[in-house]
Amino acid sequence: MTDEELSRALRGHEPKPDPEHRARLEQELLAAYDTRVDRRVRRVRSPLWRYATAVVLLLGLVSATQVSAEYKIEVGKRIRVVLPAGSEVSPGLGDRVARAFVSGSSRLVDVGVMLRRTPEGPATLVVDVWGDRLAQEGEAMDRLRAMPEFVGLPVEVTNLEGRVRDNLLGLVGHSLFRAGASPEERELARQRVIEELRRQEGDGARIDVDVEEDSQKQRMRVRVRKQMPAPQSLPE
Amino acid sequence: MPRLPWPLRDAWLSRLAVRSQRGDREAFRDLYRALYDPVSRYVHRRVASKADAEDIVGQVFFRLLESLERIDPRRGSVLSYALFMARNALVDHVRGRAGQVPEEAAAAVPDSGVGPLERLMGQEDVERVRRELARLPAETRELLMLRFGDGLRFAEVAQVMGLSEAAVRQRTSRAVRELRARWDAGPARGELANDG
Repeated sequence: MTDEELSRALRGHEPKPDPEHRARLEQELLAAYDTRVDRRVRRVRSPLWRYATAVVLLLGLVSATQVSAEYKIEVGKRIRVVLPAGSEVSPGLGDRVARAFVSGSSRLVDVGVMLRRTPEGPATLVVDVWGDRLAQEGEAMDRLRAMPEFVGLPVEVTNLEGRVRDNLLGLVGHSLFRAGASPEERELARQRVIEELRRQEGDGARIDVDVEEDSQKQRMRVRVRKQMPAPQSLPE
Repeated sequence: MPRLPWPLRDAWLSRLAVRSQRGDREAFRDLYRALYDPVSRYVHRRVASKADAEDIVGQVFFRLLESLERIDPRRGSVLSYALFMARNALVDHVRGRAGQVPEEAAAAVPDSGVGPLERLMGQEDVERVRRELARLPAETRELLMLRFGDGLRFAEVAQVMGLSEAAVRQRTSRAVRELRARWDAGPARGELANDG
């Protein structure tokens, strides 16, 4: 008995496949295949999966905005001038210093003048000028330096910064002024900055926050108005 | 399925399976058409009822579709996988019927009926071979069926039956040797005839 004979015996009489059954089964199978593939494609393209990454990032951002943050806003300048020991200070010095910073173009909102005097030592004049555009106010500084009491004396200028405590959402809102945000978004951020500054400065302060836009950029201007102290309150 | 040498055939079926997994409808149709004949032959050889056989063939292909993602051509030939599923479907089919051992169904020797076999072998010889096969254990009989009836390679037989290729080679060789020995022994003819 050869392998071929064994094969023939085992194959027996092979019925030919029924073409009708073959075709019918093919149609049923392809229909099931289409359903299966469609279901798989829908599963892959479901919005949940498509936007899963965006949702995760959004959740991360929302979480991050709840983290406390603090940032500073430049709200003015502090000018310090050390006067020689024994120098005399005229009674109207405070008024004259304040007026030196007043001009039509400035956005001066408040000027505080304080003279610190130590026994037998030099006196220090501290001028806090609240407002903006002070960096460009070369004229005001020139007027200050031209005053007889300060001629030839070194003038130290530092920034007055207001600390704004907020969460990152506030910081984002603050940056929105420079990020091409919509008017509604800028207004929302502006109100938040005003509230924070009012909390810092007290109810007596008048706080204005303006947004300036030009073709190049957007800028935020912060003005804090306080009651100007009377000249006679200056220490002698 | 085009007549190809088995390495090319396996590569072709593997490619069709992978494309089908990726949603290629035409590839899946070609895969079905390529596997229909061997699966259909496998089932029809073991199931007498045409209606039952067609029902089982349908089950095989729907199971194949359900497990399409799990087909890994690197682990074996796609044809073997399909026949493995056919074997399982056949066993499941028989389990639902009383009075027949499932494993016997997979090892059932087909009824030759009236066909070309009779023109090549005498009817007496055919009956004798069939009786000899019937005396073998079911697993050995199935092994010979897969090897010589379905024309599978040793590796494919091993995959279908869940055996090692070496075991399949060894058992096939021993079974064929025994069959030939009985065939060559003259007295067996009368002995087998008495068995019938």
